[in-house]
Amino acid sequence: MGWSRWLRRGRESLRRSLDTEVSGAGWMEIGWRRLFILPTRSGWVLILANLLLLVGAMNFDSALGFILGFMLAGTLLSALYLANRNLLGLRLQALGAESVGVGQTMALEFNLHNAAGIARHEVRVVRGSNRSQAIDLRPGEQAVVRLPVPALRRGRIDDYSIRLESRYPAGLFRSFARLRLRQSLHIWPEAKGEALALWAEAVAEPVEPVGRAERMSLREEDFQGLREFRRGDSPRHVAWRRFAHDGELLVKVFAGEVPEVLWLDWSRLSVADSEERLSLMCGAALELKQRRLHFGLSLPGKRIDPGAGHGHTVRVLNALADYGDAVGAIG
Amino acid sequence: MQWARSASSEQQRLLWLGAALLFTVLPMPGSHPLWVFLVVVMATVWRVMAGFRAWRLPSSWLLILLVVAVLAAMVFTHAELRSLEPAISLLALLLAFKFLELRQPRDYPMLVMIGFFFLFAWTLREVSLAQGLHLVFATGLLLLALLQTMREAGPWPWPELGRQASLLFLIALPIMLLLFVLFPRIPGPLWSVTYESERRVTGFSDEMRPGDMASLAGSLDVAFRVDFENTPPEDALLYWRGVVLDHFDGEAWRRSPQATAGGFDQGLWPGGFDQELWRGEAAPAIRYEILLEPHGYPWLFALDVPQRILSSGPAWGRDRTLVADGWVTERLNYRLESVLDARHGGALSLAQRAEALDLPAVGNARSWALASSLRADTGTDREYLASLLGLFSEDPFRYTLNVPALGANPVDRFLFDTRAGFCEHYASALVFLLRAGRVPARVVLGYVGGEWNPLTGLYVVRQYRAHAWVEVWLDGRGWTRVDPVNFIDPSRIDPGIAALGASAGAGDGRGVGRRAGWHYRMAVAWDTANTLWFRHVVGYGQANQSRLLEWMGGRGDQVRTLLLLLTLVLGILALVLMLLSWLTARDQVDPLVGAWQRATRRLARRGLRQEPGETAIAFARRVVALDPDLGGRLLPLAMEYQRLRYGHESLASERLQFIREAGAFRG
Repeated sequence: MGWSRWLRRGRESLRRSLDTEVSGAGWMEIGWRRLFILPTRSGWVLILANLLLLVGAMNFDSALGFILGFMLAGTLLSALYLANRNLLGLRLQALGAESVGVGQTMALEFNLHNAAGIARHEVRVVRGSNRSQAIDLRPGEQAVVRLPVPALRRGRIDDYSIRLESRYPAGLFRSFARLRLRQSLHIWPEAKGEALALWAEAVAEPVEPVGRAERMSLREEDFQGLREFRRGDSPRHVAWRRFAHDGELLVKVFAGEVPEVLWLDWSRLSVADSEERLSLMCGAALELKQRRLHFGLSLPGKRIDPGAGHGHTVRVLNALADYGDAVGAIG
Repeated sequence: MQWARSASSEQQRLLWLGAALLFTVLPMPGSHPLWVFLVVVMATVWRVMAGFRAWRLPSSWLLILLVVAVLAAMVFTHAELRSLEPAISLLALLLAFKFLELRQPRDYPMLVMIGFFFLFAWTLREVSLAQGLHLVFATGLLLLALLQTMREAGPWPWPELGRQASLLFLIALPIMLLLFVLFPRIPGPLWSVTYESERRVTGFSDEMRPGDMASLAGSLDVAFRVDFENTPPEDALLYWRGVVLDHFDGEAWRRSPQATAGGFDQGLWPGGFDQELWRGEAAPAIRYEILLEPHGYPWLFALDVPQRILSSGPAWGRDRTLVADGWVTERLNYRLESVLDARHGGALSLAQRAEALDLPAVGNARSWALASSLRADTGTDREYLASLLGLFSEDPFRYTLNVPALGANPVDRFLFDTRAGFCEHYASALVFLLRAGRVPARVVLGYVGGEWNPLTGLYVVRQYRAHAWVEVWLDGRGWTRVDPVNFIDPSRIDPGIAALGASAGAGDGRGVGRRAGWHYRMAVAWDTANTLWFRHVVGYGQANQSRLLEWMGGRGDQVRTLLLLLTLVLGILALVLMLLSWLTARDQVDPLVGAWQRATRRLARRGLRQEPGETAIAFARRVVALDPDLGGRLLPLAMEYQRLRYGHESLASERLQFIREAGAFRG
């Protein structure tokens, strides 16, 4: 028990020492010191066979046996060299990934640039058991590879490690470089389906945000003034006459109107489990975005003013992901 | 190959593996039961067709049944299960069944590995040049199949395959050669494994039953090759002495029981082996090297009477013959010094004389009578010998390979009834009559003559030159060679033998064939290649390595020196390869980059510098903001630069044009 943890810690520190830290947007080149080569399972099979053949040749003092054994040994060494050369000098740039919710698949993107005069073969990016497609790069070619990984835990990820890997030329050796990339990724809470309905049930004082704008009675006497048009405002409230007059797009504001702006307020939810709360808020935010409604976010210690649109939604969701300084995890 | 090109990756993999497998087992028929080869072919076809035409693969119980049946058949077919041949058959069948049940990619290297083991077992069996060529090509094909099957994206397409394979093998070749030359060979096995090959090695046994040698008469197999240090003696003097038979039981000649019981004593050689042979001034010592093919017996061959042993390998045997320290199952090279027409003083001891006169008292009565009547008419031993040889030349004795079986009393039957036979019959009869007349004599088995190969400078002695002759003890001269066949009237030599001689040079070593025509030259060339192969490749071993080290001026522990040398050379090779990959893998400075940098360097004087991470166009825009005129000229250049460098297509002419424009750019 004790020693296995010690072993794990040792392995972890070894892994970290092999990793190369890289700043988010920069290109990095695979140099000698970053490159490692290990035989694959098939490679071990043939290495073992080769040793047996050589011992046999020695035992029977068979010149032809030596020829056979050395042909195989020469090919193995040649494959080793080619495997090493295949990744050496290759350049990689981490492009980051679109944030996704827990349980979804995150596509990490990388730009590979072969600046050298030789072609590169079967290069892929690997993380754990997840692998990108293997691509070939002609001399001077650049290509983007996508590494799909499952998003496991809500939170922010500041750095993550990947392997650049190839089994070229004969699948006998795996040459790889372990890279630790400094780059922020956000994993949103798992969005609850039908979140708005659930949200309605969950808030302490029931509200009915849905379709409120449509059911509002518009009474001229409650008119309070004009404000600037915002995306999501109902066209019925636009001061069209004013628009026709000087081209300014303004919206009428009425007294007593329940604001069209909704607040996703942490404190108003009565659900005890905080992850559950975040899930509800996340689902609601996505649904609101889809309905093109304005909404703001209020979290303990964090507040995002009302807004709408993709950028706003991402800001809100990232804030949800970050809540409690949670550290995310990808597979 | 249209259908092969349109085949799926999986089908192509099957084709590659199947082809490599079949080529690997190709030399099997002829030396191994044909059914083994057929099982391998059928299994291969079955598996390939399963991939192409969706044939059903055998279920696991059927497979087990097949394996059991095949193993049972093995037991019935191979008489000696502990020998090498069943192991080879077994490996071939293993290969076939592994291929038949091939299911997942990780089986491919396994299959290739079994292929290598099969090839290795085969090298223990045969080491000819043809076998060597097969080995190299089969190994290459197996490795190629591995290269093709292990690629995840499917086998390489044709032109790319050529490039990848040549890259892989071109680097592998020097490594292989270096390892072969420098990897230290340790004499003697690490542990001894006894295996016997069922293969018949041609050669004669130490038992001469008149009539045996006829089977060798047609054989063109090489017995040994000879490299003379100086001028070789003339062909008629090339008697290659092998075995001395001095014991006759009435039917067959054998080595004496003492010799076969082990412990090689002096035998019928008087005085001791270290005694210098007397030789006439006309007969200088002849030094030569014999490159012996394995024949499965302990004895070695030497030109006439060997005087000195000049290399390790041979040891003195009975009757001044030579023996190896075991059965000759490997090719063996050894150097000797011989004397032609040797004489020696000394006398046979009583025991030796008695052994050289020993004959069974019963049987061959008519020959006994003939001997005593002839002996009575002659005085000295020499006269007696002359009268016996005269007998063969005058009487209607014929020389032929067509001899009926002689049965009991073979000497009588030959001398009085058939009067036809070949070397063995004559040697046997002559020694019998000599011994019956109280003259010590014995039978010698060996080869006679040889063919000169002008390309290698070696004499080739083939099996059909096997011969039996007589050594007779003459007082004052010692053991003297007498070849009774030489005394037969040439007109009584069977024309069939002459014809055989013309075609294959066969017939008791006496045949004189005309050697002309392209097929003969081809045979000579092939023999040359074989010889070079055996001397420099198959025969390459510790001795060659120590010669190499001597030549390089090395001394001391050979294994350590070799390992050091190997490490050094491989290390240098690794450094060269590292340098090569550094040269090829690092950023090649694109001439476009150089041109762009030269152009923008001129702006640096004005404090305009392209920041790291700033694209050319972004930089040009920045310049536009500061100096619209300059930027206006720079911007198109930057756009062109970016298009040529990162765009998908760029023509060489466009790139040249850009370099010219960039060169003309003035800040």
